[in-house]
Amino acid sequence: MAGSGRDERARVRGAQAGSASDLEALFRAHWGRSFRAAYLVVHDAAAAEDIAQESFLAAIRALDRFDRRRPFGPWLHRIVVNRAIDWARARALRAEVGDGTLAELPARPVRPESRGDLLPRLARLPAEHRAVIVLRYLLEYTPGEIAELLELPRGTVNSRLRRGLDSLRKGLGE
Amino acid sequence: MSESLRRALRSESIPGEHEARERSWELAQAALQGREAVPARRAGRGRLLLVGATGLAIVAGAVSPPGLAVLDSVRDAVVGDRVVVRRPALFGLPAPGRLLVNSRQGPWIVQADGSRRLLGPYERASWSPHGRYVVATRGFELFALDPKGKVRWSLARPGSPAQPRWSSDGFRIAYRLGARLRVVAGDGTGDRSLPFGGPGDAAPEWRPGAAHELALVDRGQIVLTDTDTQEVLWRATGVPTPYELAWSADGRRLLALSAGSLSVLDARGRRLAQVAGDRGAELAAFAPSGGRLALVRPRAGGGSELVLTDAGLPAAGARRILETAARFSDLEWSPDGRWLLLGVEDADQWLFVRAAAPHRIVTVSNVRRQFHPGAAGPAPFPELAGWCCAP
Repeated sequence: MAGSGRDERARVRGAQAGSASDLEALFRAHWGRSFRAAYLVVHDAAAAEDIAQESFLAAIRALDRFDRRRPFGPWLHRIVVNRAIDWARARALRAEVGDGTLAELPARPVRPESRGDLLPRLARLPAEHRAVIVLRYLLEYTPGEIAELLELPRGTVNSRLRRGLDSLRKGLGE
Repeated sequence: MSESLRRALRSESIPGEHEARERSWELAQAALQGREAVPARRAGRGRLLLVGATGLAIVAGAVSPPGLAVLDSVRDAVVGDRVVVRRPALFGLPAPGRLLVNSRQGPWIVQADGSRRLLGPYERASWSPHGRYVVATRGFELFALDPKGKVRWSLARPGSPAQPRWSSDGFRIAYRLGARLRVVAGDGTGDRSLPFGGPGDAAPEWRPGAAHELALVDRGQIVLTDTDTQEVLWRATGVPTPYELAWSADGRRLLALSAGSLSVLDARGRRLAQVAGDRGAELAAFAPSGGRLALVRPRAGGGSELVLTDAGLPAAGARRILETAARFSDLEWSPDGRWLLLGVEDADQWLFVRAAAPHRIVTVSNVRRQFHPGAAGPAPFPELAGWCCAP
């Protein structure tokens, strides 16, 4: 994902010392996946930009406290995915109580759905299920790593993965 | 299933991904620099203060002597959740869209990447509804231009056309000619006078979403008229004579700014709210999505404050975003409703402020010089004439 572990540790060390080039290397290596992961959880490009941006800024602010022996990616992804889940939950809550301002927002264009199109199906899953699917199939974490990232029992992760995949399959008639 | 899911997740096209990445990178760089600067700055000069409990960024100690930039001495910094990025010039806009800026040399169009084009020697300009054209004035004439400055049509009238406004459907342009109001079709034909007017400052404003309904000030009162039939749909009473009118994006609310007061009317001319006295506003702008209203209010002790409030009730739930010892001279929303642009004439700066928390601030200095290149003497501060939709 971001080069070898040794390279990444060197970049984190450089960024901690204020090196813009090391920060840029970390940014270029991780921001795209973070943005994509956030987008696939919240399905809103502007919100995903905010989430990825704020997560990266939060990571920079905490660089001094970061343990360089640990990989940077999971640390950042934990922040991103948790923020994305929070955002999606907050939006769902606002929708349930009929927020007037929200109702005035222009409708977003809906992607045409086809048999081969999984993403509209993904968007209908609960945010927590979307998050584990994104962590598993986009960011390639194992269920054990996802459990650690989200601070969930491994059984919960497995169950969310299974239910999420089942819903996607049903939608496609498999 | 697993492989097709992986492919779908990786290949999903996300609108604006590249631009989002570059915006984020710019802020990340500033954050890295600010991370080092914050401890010394907090202990030292303290020009940018953070009041954590209220979430208010206060920019203080700014404008003595006159012309000293509001944030000029604050280098890129992160304070709490806020990032202040200082730019010596306008390198780009933080959101999609294009700015129209009126300067003494003429109107400029600023693209999102920061490139600028001078349209020509016109006095004032405003956008057509989708930014495909600009309507401008010069001397006795009214011009419709494309964004490259090519004249599509012009119309000469015995007087000085002023305050042109294009209707939301693009088929009409209203403008003031002396004390009278006139309407011309979007192709420059059918110019005629309306039986309304009188001296005043407020430009006429078309109601969004309605065919050709125009709000205007007639003999000191706000009137909504159908310009095709010239029927008066309503006349608002008890509202102080406004110097500025503005419709919400959905056409359901009309804001009237008067000296010392601010009124919000519904689409039938009924007053929903009025705020007077110290809590009035100098500048106001509805968010493009209609649910919020940005206000610039005078600050106790001088200067201005920027607040966000509900569009229907400007007195309720107002949230202060920023205050400075300098006065804000312009206020515009980005087309996506995520950023506000404030002009600070005394400091020769623009401030881009992100509307949602955390409130990021990007300052752009040397604004006069950028819109008056080669000017020999002091140039006036340019005026914002709209941050329009992407092309």
